[in-house]
Amino acid sequence: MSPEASQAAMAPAEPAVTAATGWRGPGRTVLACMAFAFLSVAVLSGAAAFLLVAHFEREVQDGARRELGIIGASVARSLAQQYDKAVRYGIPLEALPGIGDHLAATLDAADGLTRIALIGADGRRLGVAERNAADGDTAVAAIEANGTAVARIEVVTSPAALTGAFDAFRLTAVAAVAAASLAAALAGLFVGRHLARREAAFADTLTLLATTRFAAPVPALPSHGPVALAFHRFEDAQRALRERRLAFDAYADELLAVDFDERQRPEIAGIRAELGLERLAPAPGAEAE
Amino acid sequence: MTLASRLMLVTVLPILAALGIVGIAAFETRDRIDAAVEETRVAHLLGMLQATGQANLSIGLALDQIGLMQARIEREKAADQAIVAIDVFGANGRAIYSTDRGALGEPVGEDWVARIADSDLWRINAGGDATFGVRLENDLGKPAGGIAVTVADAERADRSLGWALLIASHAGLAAILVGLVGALLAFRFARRMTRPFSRAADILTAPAPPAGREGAFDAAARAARTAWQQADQAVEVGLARLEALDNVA
Repeated sequence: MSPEASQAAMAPAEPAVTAATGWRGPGRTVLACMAFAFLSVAVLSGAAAFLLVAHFEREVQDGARRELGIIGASVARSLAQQYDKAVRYGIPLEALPGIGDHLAATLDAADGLTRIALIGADGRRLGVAERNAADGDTAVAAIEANGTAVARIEVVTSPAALTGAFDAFRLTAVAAVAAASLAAALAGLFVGRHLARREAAFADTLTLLATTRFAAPVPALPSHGPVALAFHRFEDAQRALRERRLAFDAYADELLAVDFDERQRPEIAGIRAELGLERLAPAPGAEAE
Repeated sequence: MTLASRLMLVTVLPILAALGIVGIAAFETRDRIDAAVEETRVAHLLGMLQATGQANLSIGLALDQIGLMQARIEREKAADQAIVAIDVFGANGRAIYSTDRGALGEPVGEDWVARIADSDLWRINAGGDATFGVRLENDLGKPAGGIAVTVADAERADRSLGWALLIASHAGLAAILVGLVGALLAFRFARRMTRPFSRAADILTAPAPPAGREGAFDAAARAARTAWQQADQAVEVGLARLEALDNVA
């Protein structure tokens, strides 16, 4: 190697992040971290939230169905007792006015009831009140005269009438998963940018070390993990090389110290220039000492 | 903090937050539905008592002349442990029938009397209990008084606590499992993202190139290794030549 080429090789090179390495820039890293954070949180929390919502909904509906079944049976019994009186006084149910209004008023007073019907012994509907077509559990109470069933009250209850609150619950769950996924993507952006900075520094370091034959300083190191290990590995190599260079300088100084006729000085300078082994600047720590 | 730690935080914390919100929303939903079921139950009881009272008022009896009402409200209270008291009061604000015999003739709350101006079911929460009421109308459609059913909130509070524990255990278990999966995924992703660094480190020191797909820094690391070897070789040659000089001297 010529002295000029050596000098050029030792001169500090400008960082060339992507030119001399296979690294494709920060965009890909940032995007990968954001996508990972978003997808992992969306899929995992979405699946867990879906299962939890389905589980809680089933539990609540079972409980509400039991409670409403008891209420439905009580309403049916109570109405049957009221119509029982009319039958006992000899009033035909068909002749009773306002059955529909009475049933509607009873229905309106209890949210979980979806249908109340007064059915004659022949199956004819004598009155009915309903508020939606939802299926549900039916409680039946017979209206009797002299031990014979003359009509019956049917009360249909449905937890769906009370569980409209689940629409809001589902919406809340979806919003929570969406918000968590977006927050994760945002946090992933910062993590990705941090990693991209490390990658850029590493790419710069590799380029500089290659072009300066490990004479350029290794930048501030992260403390843990594979990234730190890589930086440390290059720093260790640089330190080992520096120790060998210092040994060369010491040997050269030793020879110059006894070179009273200065015959060896130009020869040593020639070796330095030819091999690119200019005297190393003292390390910052050594200067302090 | 390593990349794996950062990614684990980024993944696990939002998952925990989302499932926490789902758990809280489940509890609030269950609480609302529980309150609605209770209101339905009490509304039905009030409806029956109201029908009995108004049937008697409609045949010309005064409110204090419905002899069966006292026995009826005591029977209803005995049938439902959640009921604290049932009171039937006149438009003058004094209790005419009450499951608390000591309250007979005593004034009821002013807010109860104020509520009978409205024909709808009303509810007042006070002292840990909830009071539901409806008004009684005379045959002219004027307020003749009201019926109030007071239910203890303690039973509902017990149910809420049980439900809260159930939700916390299920949501907590789900959060732990999903959080662990998330942490594992984050760890694997971090390893994948830092693989180019590890390969570059291996290329510098290992005599044989690492197996597997080419990493982003492989080419640069190989160039750096070549430069390092050349520099090391130059020192080696330099030392040999100095030694030769030394021997000549």
